[in-house]
Amino acid sequence: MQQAASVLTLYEGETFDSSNPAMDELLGDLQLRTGEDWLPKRKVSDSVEFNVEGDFYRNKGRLLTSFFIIEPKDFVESGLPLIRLTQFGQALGNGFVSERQYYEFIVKRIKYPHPAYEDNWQAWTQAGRTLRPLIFILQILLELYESKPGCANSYATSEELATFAYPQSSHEKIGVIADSIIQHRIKPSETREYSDEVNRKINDMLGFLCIAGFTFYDGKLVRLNLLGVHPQESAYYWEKRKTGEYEEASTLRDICNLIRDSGVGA
Amino acid sequence: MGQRVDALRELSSYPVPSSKYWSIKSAQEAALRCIAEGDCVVLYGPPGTGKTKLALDLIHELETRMKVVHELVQFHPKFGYEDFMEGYRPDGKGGFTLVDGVFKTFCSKASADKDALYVFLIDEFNRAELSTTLGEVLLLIEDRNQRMAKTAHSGSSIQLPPNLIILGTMNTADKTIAIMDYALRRRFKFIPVWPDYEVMKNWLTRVGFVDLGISIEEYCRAAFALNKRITSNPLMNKHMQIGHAMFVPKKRGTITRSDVGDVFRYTILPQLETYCGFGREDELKKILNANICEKMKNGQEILDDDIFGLIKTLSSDQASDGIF
Repeated sequence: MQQAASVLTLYEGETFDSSNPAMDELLGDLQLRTGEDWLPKRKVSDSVEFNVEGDFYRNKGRLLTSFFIIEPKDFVESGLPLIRLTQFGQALGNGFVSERQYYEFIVKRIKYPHPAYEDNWQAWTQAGRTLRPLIFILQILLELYESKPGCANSYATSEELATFAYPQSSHEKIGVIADSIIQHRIKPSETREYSDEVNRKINDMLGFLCIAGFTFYDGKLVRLNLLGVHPQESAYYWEKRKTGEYEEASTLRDICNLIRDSGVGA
Repeated sequence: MGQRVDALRELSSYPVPSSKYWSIKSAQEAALRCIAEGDCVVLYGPPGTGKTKLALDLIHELETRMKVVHELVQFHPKFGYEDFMEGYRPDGKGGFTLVDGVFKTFCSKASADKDALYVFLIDEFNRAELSTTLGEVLLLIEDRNQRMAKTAHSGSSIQLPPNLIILGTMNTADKTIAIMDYALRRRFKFIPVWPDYEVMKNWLTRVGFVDLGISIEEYCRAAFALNKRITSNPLMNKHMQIGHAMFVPKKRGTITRSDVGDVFRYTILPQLETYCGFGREDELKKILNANICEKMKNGQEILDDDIFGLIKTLSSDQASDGIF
């Protein structure tokens, strides 16, 4: 993402319009610097060289706007939308943000209502509620870790989060959610209607937390990563070997600090 | 939507340690560091940024620390190897005699006086044909204590004394450092000198404004905004900025409205017109305003009010926020 932001700083002020020749250059630079395809190679037909995907924004815009790299297209009041980086996008592109700082920034700042999306903004604003979803997941995992029988519980599945956390998305309900998950593990009770969209959202968030190193995959479980030595060390393993030395290496303190810094309280 | 925009900007705020705007002091410090290492230095930048003054200030600064001897020459297209190193000159009797050039003579003096620092100051460094003029100096600058060369005309040996440095200044608005070959470039330390608005402000404060209708700070902000427009214009670049000295009327006594008008009318506007190319009012409009461009196009007189209208617009440009 740092490389992508760096490329985008070079094209700030350009129109997203696919007829703008700079967009082709931008796409080439993005692919060269990140090693990723930013536009799937789909053509109308073998004989027509026209990519139905349009510009890179159509394909990756959501990623870039949700992570506060660029401003969404619909922020333009008049005229053609232009590539405009946010202050964070500028800082990232210009090399002021380390990998660790990047992950911590995203975890702390992603918030509902998310201003980049009109529908999300409207829904959460009208409901008069706010949520920091990544912090919310970490809080649930921490609550599970602190509950009896201890750190063996400090994991969650996307199914559990979809069933118990999603319907009660509030930082005030962490205790209730953790209790429900533990009860469910002892005696499965509640079931819910499957929603592909909800599961996908939760999986995306869990995936991000794992990439960021706050959690890790243990099969289908996502465990709180309590050690800097990731991913071989599970929370359970860490508990058994807990010494002063290991405590120093723990990311638990980092996670607690992160939650505190996000402003929602640990 | 305004709420969404504000919310996104708040959530994505990430203040970074912003470097203060460039200052001449930092260039001076950099140059002194290079000189202390025995490097030859070229100060380069747009016209009116005080490069020659800075070079002389550097010599004065060095004089407070040690004995300094300096010689100033200005390069120009007729200045060649014969003037710089050595060459045959008519002896007045129908023959020719070999005469040492200004640099070779300076080298001899430096070799004989090891206790002093010898600074050879070359103004307008890039106006001569450099590879031809400098000759053997290119070889000698590197490993100056070990290398020795024979000069082209007399075949005499020459070595660059360790107590001699070359300090050059060059204007990059019309000739960039790209005209120099790489071999030459790597032998000098190139230190940029950009407009310094703090220096401009202090200078104007010392001189004083009378009935201008704008403050000194507003005038400096206008200068900054104008240069910002120049820098971001695709036809121009940072080397075509207007140096801070060009905004200051050269006169005794306090500065009046017509003094500033004259600076714009007779110095800055013609310079910008040349940069854009004659007849390119469309480009000029992006830097100035429609009113002045129309008058320039039609050859009409540009009044003080026109100039101050432009200055007012420029000074309120957000681009200049936080320059002081």
